[in-house]
Amino acid sequence: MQFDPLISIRLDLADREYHSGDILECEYQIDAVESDEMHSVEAAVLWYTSGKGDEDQGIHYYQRETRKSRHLDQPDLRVLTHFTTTLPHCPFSYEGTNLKIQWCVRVRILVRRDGQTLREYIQDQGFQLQRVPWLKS
Amino acid sequence: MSRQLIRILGKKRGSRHSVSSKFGVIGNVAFSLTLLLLGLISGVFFLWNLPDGVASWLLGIVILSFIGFGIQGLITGLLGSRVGDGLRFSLTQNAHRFDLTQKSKAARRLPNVPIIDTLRMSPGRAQPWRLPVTTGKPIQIISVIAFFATWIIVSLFLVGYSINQYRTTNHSGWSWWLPMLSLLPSIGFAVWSGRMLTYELKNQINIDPLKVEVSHQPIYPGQTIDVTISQGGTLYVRSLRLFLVCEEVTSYHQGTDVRTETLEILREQVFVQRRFEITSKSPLAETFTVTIPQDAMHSFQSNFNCLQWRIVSVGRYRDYSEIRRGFSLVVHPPLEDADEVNSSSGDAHAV
Repeated sequence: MQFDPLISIRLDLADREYHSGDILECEYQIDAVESDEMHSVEAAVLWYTSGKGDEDQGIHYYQRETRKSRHLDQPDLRVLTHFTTTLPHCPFSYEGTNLKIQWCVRVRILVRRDGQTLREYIQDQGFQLQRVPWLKS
Repeated sequence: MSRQLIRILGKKRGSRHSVSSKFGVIGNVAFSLTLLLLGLISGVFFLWNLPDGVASWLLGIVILSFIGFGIQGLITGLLGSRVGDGLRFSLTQNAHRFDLTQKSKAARRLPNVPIIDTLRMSPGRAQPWRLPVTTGKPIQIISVIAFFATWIIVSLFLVGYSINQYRTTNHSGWSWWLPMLSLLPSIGFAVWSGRMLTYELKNQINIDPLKVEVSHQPIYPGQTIDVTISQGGTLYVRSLRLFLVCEEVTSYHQGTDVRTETLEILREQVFVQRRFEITSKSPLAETFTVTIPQDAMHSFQSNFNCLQWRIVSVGRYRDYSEIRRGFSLVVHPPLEDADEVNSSSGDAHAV
């Protein structure tokens, strides 16, 4: 039996509540998959909308690593990886009625197992950027 | 639930994507590529053997549209795919390096917040800025004009055709009186739309527009601003009310339609005055304050979703219908360095 890969994401603040201009520190690690099965790892800090409207998305930070792009001394894509980014001034996290804006760190990996086609696995870790409560008249 | 690769028959129910999105992207790119290649190949043949006259123009337009739609489809297809996430980010980052305008700087500083450049182009009299009107009835009036013109043309055509038939035939059969019969509803529609148009134009022409001016642009949550309203003309006003309104505007696909829904999440009355008269000697000129709530969300604008702040006026006048107008406000997120323009797009690197 083969398990899906495990993607762990850890943010520096336990309550995951950030303010604009804060530095977000993040670590991620991948498990339950062989090193040579890993094709690429993408990490992004992004916001996306949910609710009644179609989804919008904005990427604030993005990095992609493949086995070729890694340093020769550490070709394993599964190891604990650390990155930091300065959070933007907006848009804030927002919980409205028809519109919600959510921020997250998203790690996406592409895995090739037993010569099959590439399969993607995605893990999100949400956080709040200066959360704005729903306005009430 | 896994999606099927391709759906040939069967109605799409519920879910927005009933087949694999990857298949959709590949199909879109393949179609656009085919269109582009077809355009390029036929373009080469076209230039090789250039036809004469109108045919060359027509063929040229068709070939150019093939190439144009092909390129456009390829770009949107690639940007819409997962590859596009990184590509879009990379393009945005690189574009900033060459764009030296303040507009770009402001957009980078406050992504997805409407830019206020255009709002600042209209200075006011009593206050520094005059707000642009965001709602009127231009589309309604244009529709009524188009409807009215169509039925006038149809009526004239029917009259001309009937007269022509009456003069050239032996007055037997249906040839002349059938068009005359259909003339009645046609004239009816023309008269009805003409009256509606007159009513709309009367409102637009006779009532001077309400002008709204503000002391600050942009505005920040918790900030109190001075608002001055003015209106001229000769009017008896039954009531004039102004509201501070915050709305969530969402667009979504429903089948092949795109629908837009607007939901008011805040409506606060900021001004009201009843039973007064506006004359050329005593035009309306009032100043009051408006406070944006401390915990308010800033203005937000993206492709399908928007959060907008407006001042909405509702006026009731004697002899006229109720008139509603909206005036756009831009609320920025609270910043410690509100006037300082600095780049803050993270320390990301693109691949």
